[in-house]
Amino acid sequence: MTNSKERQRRLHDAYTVPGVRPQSTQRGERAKALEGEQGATAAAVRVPEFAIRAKATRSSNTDTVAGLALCALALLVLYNTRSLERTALMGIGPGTFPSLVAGLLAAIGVVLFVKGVIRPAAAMAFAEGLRPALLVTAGVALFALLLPGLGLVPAVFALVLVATRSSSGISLRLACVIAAILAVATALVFVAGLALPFRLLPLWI
Amino acid sequence: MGIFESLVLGLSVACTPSNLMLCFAGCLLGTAIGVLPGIGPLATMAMLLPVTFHLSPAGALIMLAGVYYGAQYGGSTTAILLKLPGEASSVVTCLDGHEMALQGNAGVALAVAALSSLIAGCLTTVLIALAAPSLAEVALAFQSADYVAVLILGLVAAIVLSQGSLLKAIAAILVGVLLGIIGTDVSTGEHRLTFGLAPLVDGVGFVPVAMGLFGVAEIVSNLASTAGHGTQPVAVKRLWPSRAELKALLFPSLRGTVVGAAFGLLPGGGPTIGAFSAYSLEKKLSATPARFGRGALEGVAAPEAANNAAAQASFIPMLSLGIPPSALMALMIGAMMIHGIAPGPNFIVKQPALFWGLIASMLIGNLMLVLLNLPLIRIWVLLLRVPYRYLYPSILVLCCIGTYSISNSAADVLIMAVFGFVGWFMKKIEIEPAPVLMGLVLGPMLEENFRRALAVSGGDPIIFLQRPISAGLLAVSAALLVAAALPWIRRKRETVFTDPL
Repeated sequence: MTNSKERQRRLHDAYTVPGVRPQSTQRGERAKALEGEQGATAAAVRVPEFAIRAKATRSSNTDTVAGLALCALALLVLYNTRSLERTALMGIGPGTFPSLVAGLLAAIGVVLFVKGVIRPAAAMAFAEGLRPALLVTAGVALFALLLPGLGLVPAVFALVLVATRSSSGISLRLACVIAAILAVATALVFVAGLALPFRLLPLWI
Repeated sequence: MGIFESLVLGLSVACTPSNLMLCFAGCLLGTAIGVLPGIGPLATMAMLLPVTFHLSPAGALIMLAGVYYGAQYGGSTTAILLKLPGEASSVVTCLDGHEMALQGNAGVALAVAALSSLIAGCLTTVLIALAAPSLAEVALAFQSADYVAVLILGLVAAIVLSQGSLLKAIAAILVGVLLGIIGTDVSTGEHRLTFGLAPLVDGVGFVPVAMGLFGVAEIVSNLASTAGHGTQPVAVKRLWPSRAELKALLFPSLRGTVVGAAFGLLPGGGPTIGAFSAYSLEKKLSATPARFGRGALEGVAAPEAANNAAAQASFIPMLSLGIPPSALMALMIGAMMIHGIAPGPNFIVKQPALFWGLIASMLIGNLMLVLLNLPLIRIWVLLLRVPYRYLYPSILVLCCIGTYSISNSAADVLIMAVFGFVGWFMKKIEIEPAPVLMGLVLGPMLEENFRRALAVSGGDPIIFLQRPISAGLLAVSAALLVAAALPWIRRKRETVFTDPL
């Protein structure tokens, strides 16, 4: 237990400047961050991402969120496997193992949640890194959706274009250039070079 | 057949010109991709797996082993030059390695990492050659109930050896087991957890999940932490260590090898905990512990030797029992399955040429890595100078194409995207992703053997306690789990990972 507190303290120290009253600055920045997220002119207020660091609370810390997420997953599994046989004549049915695992998972979820409420663990910094997470995974998903219909070149182009939106250092024009270069390069290396069975362009071209 | 003749047989397989070329190409490609920031050995292997599909089984395994060593070395290179570890096991290398680099000894640090890995690699190869065949003989007597016990021991060890909270590690394993359940039930043909989606009927593949959790999620967190700027690598000057430095690295490497190999035999975070423990040991043994963290040579040599030894020792349970002790070995098993080879007790007896060829290629691969990387270090440094925001789009494209090519399935890429996000979320709620992969691989094996054992006993669970092997292993697992939960051991377990930091 002392360990998690110690870690929390270290984390806290790492993000606060010595000499400045840590609590008040943190709260101030957090308020600013919230304003930035909720305000109508969201683009006007740009808060550096590391400033959006919420304080650990009883209701929202890594343990409670993890506990809730695990319980939700367990319930989903139990609901989805409810029609499967749990017992069979010889040994166990197809539903036994999933419900056993889901039950254990739910139990752990509850324990984690209660633990988090009693002794809040490290703060949940959900907003930090959310933008790259969403854009990068969206780019990959787009690649998967476009590849069968449109072929490799448009899929790579779309992937790179969307994923590069997550870093501020790349303008839209530069992103297009990088996307085009990578699309051509992958076509040359993987299709012309390694002869992997990709369709390059949509059929109608 | 004695060890000596066996090794000669292995060398005759591994030393054909084409297999030597494949080993070389594997090392080169593995290093080239492994050196990219944020790409660990697992992602590198998954990416290069499709390249090996068209090779002969022996060639494919030899090339993959080469890729593996290359990727591991590439990870150490980024750890030393950029302080960006590709995976958990090279975190410790950052501490003194990067410090050495800042003091102008980057080249020496890289050479020390390569040489201590070579020492560890050669010694552990001998250990595999000695231990794997005898373990396989024991394993021939195993029945389903015993396999259940071995698998449970494996999962428990993975929990105990993982970083952070015990509860969260158990949860991660269970999530992995649930992922393994997705698909068609083997014995009844019923669809489980498929949510009516056609691509899920065949189950969730190991590679898309691994690539999502380790490749995509890693890119995302690198982007979040560096805002796409990346860090500039340190210049490399002198490369070859002096005679005194060579002398200083010998014993720490040997001790690191022993520690690493011991942990590598256990399932779970073998290389990681091996590296951390080896570092702590060196610090305790040293006459001047204050130097650690300030560029101590032993602080690079011992953990590098340990993580290499552990990684290689994990081949022993994989080859002799068919049970992967780590996510990487699970990938290796996947690669073997693609070529129609089932690792397990029969593998060594029935395909000695393949087994000993693989062993011999480990020796060659380790040696080749040193010969290859010392001259090429300057090229890797050039690659690292490219800012991360220009690098990560190409890494993403490689991940997508690699995952797609494994079974020409766009659904796999979609699964990878989903697990990229899941991996990011798991980092947020502080759950380690590695046990998920263990659960995903071991879960289906566990269920299958569990049901088979119960079918044999007519549904009576007492069978697990009647057979001496399974009863013994279950008792060990229970003892491990109870011990890990005891307060004073729990504290010790947590400090293994926080002490050096």
